[in-house]
Amino acid sequence: MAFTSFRFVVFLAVSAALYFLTPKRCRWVTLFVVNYVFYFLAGGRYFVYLLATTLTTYLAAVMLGNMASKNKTAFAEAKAGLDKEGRKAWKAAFARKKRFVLVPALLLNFGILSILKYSGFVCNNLNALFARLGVGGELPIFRFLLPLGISFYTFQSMGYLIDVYREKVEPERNLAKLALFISFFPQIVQGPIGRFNTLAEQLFRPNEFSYTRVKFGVQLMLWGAFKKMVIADRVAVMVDNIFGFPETLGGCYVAVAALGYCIQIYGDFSGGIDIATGAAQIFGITLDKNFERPYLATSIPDFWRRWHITLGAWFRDYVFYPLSLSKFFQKLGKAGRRVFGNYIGKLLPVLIPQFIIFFLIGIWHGAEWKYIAFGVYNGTLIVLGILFEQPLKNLAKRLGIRMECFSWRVFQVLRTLVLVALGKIITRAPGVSASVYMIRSMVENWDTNIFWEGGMLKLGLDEKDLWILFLSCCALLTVSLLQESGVKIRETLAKQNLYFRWAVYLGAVFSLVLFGVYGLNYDASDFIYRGF
Amino acid sequence: MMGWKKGIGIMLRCIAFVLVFSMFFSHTTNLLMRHDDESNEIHAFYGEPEDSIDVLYIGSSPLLRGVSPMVMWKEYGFTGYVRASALQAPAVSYGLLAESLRKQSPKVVVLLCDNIFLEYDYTEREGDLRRGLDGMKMSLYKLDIIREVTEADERQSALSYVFPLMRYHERWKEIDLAEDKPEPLLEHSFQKGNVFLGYNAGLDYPEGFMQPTGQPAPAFNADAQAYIEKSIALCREKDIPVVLLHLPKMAWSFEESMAVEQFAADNGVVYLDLDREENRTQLGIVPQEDYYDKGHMNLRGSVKVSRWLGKWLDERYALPDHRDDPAYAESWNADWAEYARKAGLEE
Repeated sequence: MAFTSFRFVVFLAVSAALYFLTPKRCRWVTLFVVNYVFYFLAGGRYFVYLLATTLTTYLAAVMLGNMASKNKTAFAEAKAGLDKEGRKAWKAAFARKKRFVLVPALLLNFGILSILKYSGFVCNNLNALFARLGVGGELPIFRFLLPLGISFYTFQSMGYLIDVYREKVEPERNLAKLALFISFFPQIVQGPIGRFNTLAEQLFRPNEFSYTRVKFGVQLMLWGAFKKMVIADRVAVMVDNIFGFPETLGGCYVAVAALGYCIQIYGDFSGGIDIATGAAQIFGITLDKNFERPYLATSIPDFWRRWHITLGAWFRDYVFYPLSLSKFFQKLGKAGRRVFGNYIGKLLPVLIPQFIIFFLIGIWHGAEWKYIAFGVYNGTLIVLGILFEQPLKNLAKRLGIRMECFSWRVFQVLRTLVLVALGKIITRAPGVSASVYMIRSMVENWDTNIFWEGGMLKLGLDEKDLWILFLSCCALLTVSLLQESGVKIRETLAKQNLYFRWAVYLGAVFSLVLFGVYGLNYDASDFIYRGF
Repeated sequence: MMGWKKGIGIMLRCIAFVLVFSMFFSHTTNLLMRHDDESNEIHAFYGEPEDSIDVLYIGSSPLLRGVSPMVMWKEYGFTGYVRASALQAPAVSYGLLAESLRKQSPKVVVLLCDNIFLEYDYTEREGDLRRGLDGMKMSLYKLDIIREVTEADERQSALSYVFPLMRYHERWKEIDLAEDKPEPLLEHSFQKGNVFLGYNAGLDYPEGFMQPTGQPAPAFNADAQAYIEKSIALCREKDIPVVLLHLPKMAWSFEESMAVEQFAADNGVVYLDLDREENRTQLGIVPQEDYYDKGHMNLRGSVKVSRWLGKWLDERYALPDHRDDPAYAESWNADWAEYARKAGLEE
């Protein structure tokens, strides 16, 4: 059930009506039932994976909770007789005990995800390696269809489990409530990845109907659908035509395709997130922000703070900090200071975990070498960015470059956009060698025919489509700049005259109906991140 | 909780917005929707007064081109309406018949039978389907057809049949706002469903036309056969006689004609084949003058067919002559005048 389908709109309207018609104390039950109906309609036979994750997370969390409360009582009794070292030893022993529950649950759930998502890729590559080494035998290759939203709900539920392990949140003892948290239908498809401490309470409380909130939710959904159907799916026609022939088109075409793909994936993913956020808002639930105008970022780390924020935050909280603060990396830092000096040595416990998490983010996107290359590319940029941040600042100072002015900011934004676009070529091209070829052609074969000899019109979009695309992108940029400068679009619109507001609403709906890319003459374009 | 006054205010505002939206939506639909002659003619049927049609013709393009209820009106005084579109799907034919019989009580129903041999592939025939369906008002019959189509071809959405703008939205590129104006579908037709063609292809009958070949006739298409049987059953239920009709067409064989005759006999209905030699002779069809192409009559041929068929129907079913009936005369005579002027016939 695609977010931009009529079925989804009907499903959402019926669900919201049922939710608000249900007596307050049972509203969360309605939401729970609605979630499972949604998931069942989306692919009933994959239900078992969702149930497995929910049950194992529930059991592990309850066990951890019970252990924590028993430990609390025991520790309170024994506390008086323990010195500082004794207390430390007690805590360490208890943490070890808890890990016997946490680790199997993590292994099982990430194991399911890994097997479904990566086993084919791993076996394929191992078979190729065996063949090259002349080792006999071949591993069987299983192709699994990924259950809807498995990456998202696995990360969300495991984040919750780690929070329970860290005693940051109390375990949810009602299985149905936990199932609701893991399966909330607007976000299960493509995120954002929610946190128990912010999301659960909103899901479980009886939210009141609010006309203003519903209106804002619908407006956000319309904006999301506009980004997806008018911008992303339109530019996709052009992008597909260039990436479909990576070795025949010149550098300018590659540059246009890279920029086009940046627009497409942003429109697609952030559009989907806007629809999810708007849908959740109708129920009175505020989802975590997943995008903050990423193409206005001034550096790669800034870009990743603005792009898929909840995934970055997940890796930061559950992978980066534990790694960076681990004894191993602290020791490595000390050793690094001796070998490389203070500056690099001090940064080592940051640089290596950073590289690791970007490598993992790359793999998270898919089981292909190109995603690994994408992870390495981003990891390298981040590491270089951290390493050279101070030296470059010093150099700029020496050269008399003012870094607080508008032109420098524009330069930074454009530089970041170019680096991001190069990364997008890696993920969109059919393979690593094709992306290398395309990037090389941008240097070696700078053919400008695309601009002067009607080249743009040979890529699947006619002149009128290109105009619609251009104007839509201008609208997107204007909204982004307004938001960046602190303007709250929906609140501002709500203060305008009724006639103006209606004109805007009608304009929005009709631009979707008329200019949206849908119907028989177009290939149905699903949300890209739905596949991750 | 919001107060009831505020609640009613919000509700009224929402209703007002929906009304304004619907107005724009309908306006835009009328602007962008394809207006085929068939869609217009099928839709204009709803403008006919209740129980005013004596003969109802259901089928596909040979009927659309080859049978003129206006010529029959002029010659014999009974009324008729053709509900046909090019390559009309059997399901659409049945739907059109069923919805027509809710408003009209014809003395006889004429079903074109040629398509009983045709396999209808919904995935290939979207354009043809829409010619018929776009002209149909929403009804349970139409919903049944939409369901059948979308089940057979998952690329097509039911919504695009309910709201044709969802299908024609991309025509915004072809529209010149200075020249193109929104046009609703036709509410009244002076052609009564007949869309004639003037061109003369100058053809000859193929060698051995309508001579026995000794070969077996092709099998009926199961779906088409089922829909024709369903149509016959519906008419029988309403006590309306049915004529299975075959109009002149060069791509037709003796064996096909015999197979349909047997089918008609099995189902207890009359079969009339205008390609049988005795009928052709009486009709006076001249292939070099009367055909638009191998499958359709041109205007000249359609006038011959309509005169002959009208006489046949009139004699067989004792159809009423309304030419002096004030309830019919004014409107039908005015339509005839318009038809004759357009077709270049003598008034």
